[in-house]
Amino acid sequence: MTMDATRPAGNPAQIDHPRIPARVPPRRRPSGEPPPLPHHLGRTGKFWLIMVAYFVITAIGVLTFPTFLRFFERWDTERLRWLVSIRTPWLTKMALAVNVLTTSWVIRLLRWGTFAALIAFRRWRHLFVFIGAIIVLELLTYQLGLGIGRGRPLGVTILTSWTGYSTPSQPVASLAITLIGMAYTLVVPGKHRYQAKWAIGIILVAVCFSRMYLAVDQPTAATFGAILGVAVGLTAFRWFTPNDVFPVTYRRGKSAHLDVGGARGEAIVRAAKDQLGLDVVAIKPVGLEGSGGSTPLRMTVATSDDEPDRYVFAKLYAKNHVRADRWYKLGRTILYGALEDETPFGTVRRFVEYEDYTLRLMYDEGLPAPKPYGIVEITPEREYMIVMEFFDDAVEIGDAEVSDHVIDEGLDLVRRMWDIGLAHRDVKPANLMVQNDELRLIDVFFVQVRPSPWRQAVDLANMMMVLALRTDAPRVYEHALQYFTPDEIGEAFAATRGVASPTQLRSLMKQHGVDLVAEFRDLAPPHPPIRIQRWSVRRVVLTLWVLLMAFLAVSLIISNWNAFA
Amino acid sequence: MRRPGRLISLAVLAVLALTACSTGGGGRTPLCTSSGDGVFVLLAQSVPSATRLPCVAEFPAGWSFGGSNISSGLGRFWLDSDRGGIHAVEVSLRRSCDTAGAIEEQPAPDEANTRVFVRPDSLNPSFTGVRFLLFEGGCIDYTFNFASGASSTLAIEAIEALSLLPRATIVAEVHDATGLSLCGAGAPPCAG
Repeated sequence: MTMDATRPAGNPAQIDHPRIPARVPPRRRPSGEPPPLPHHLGRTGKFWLIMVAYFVITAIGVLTFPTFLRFFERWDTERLRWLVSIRTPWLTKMALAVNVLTTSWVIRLLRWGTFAALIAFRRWRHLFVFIGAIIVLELLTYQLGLGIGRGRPLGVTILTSWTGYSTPSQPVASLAITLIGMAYTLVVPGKHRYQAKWAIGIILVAVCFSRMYLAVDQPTAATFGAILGVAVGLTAFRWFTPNDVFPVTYRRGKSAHLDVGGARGEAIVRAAKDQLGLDVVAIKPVGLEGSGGSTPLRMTVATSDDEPDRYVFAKLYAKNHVRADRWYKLGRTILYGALEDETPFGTVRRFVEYEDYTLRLMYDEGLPAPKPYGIVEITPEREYMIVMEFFDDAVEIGDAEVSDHVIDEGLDLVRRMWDIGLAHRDVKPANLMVQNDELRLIDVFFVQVRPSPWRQAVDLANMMMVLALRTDAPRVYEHALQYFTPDEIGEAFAATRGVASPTQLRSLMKQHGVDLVAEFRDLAPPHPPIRIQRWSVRRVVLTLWVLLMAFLAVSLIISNWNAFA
Repeated sequence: MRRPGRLISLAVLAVLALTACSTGGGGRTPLCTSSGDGVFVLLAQSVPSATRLPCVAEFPAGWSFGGSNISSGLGRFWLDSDRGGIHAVEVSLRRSCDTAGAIEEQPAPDEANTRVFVRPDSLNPSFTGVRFLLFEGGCIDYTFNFASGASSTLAIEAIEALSLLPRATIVAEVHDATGLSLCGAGAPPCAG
């Protein structure tokens, strides 16, 4: 087909990309200097880990050298004897009441309540980390208890019931990790969580005191239990659900978005200045509703004294985005097989490098994509930001007036991508902007070079449906005939169903109550449906592997069910 | 490049699940020859009045330690057998036992100064029954629950494998090791 002579082809020279001059020369970070946002466990996290290490080393010392055991038993007994000397009936009643917090039914009630809340809020990652941390702690306390093999306090009368070895105190550890889990999964970071941590501290001190008063735990056993529970909980939540990546929030929004205030905001400003020479004076998250795979930002950049400030667009990527991409691709492979390239990215660096490449490719080919300005490293191998042109005064196509010119530009864009051998793979209203009656294409992360014919056909169908959402199907179809043959349009809608269209596009069509796919199929010549299920050895093996992992995880939970029920 | 962290996580998950690593079962074996082991301190503390503690003299061929669960008022451990099955014999130390329906018999040589009662509950399809050992301040019962088809003579093997340890021995061991008193029978009164 030769349509180049008739269609109004776009001209790269027509796109006027603004130039953002580097205001300051970039600065190389010398060896040894920390990155803009260093990754650390936090002072308290390190403290608790050091305390655990101290207790483990002490336990090994006690097991290895009998003199150590003698020393600790006597030290503990002296403290307990003092507590026994202050026993009074009302204090005993109070200690027994506080000790109720460590009973298994109270802990189970708290745990199941938290699980239910996490399910209700669909905070799955927090839920799985909480369950995992509980299992790890229960195994750890059980195995440490067996290894140390220490009995209950000596030389004093025990006033309440107990189960198993004393060190570390399993009930105190269980309560500690449960409370920490509640604080880190249900309480919003900041003032409220700070207060919650203090409350936990007070509760644990009261519980430890009551158990020592009742002589059911030695001071070292109760303290070890509390430290172990807190340390395992803190480490798990800080490592697997860091606040800035997986914030606990009761506002609506996607969890993939990073908080760009505080230390990260300062790091972004410093990194953009050092690495790209951009003098960022303001950062504002934008378009969060349409973006789940990164944190999109509009940054205000100071230019020169006689020029107004300019905006640049940036996308912040972290490890959770790589993980989300990996799970997304795994899910697609299991559900549909390898419809297209489903190879996951290994690191955030590769992730951002790929988007930079696709941006430059689109820019070089003269397609109306943003001009790339470069990559900024925030935390090595953990967080990167890609910076590009911001389309001033552009509005999302869903909110814009869609003229015949815009329809032509949209269709021409797909035609040119077909000719070059590219597919955008995420054509939806959130990724199409209209700027002064000119169409702009953003978010080129999913762009694929030499895609399958199926994917190219789907790009066309999605573009036609986006355009028809603001106009109507017959009008778009008429324009499309200038760029594509009727058979190509028929093929596009034969290839498009369900998963082939982005979620936003599907939900908008549902909202509008129009079945655009059916309308276009009626307009185009009939084409046999193109199946989207692809079977391969890889798909079968992956499915079996996921089922096996799920089985192992469930087995682990069942074998430790007494920790939950 | 493969991610070692992910592989390690998967490996740990697999090992934990496949080995059925859990917070039940396993434990320290109460061998009569290792009276200094912490398991005897815990058993003695579970029933402070008991003057005898159960222990394993030796494992006959095909028998192994199954696990233990010791808490205040009840010290339990159990043995597994390749013929009698998992949890073939459960040994429990309590303050007292209900011997209703049991028949008294002569104690074995290592059961001196105890009163022994037996109550066979069933012979077919599997052997179940209880052997009670009553002594000053406590009681021990051996509950047999063999797999279907296992011979009841396995009970004799189990009885020979199990023995008793005087609490006084543990009291002395604890005093020697720590200089402290193991509260209960055979020890000086404790504070509180």
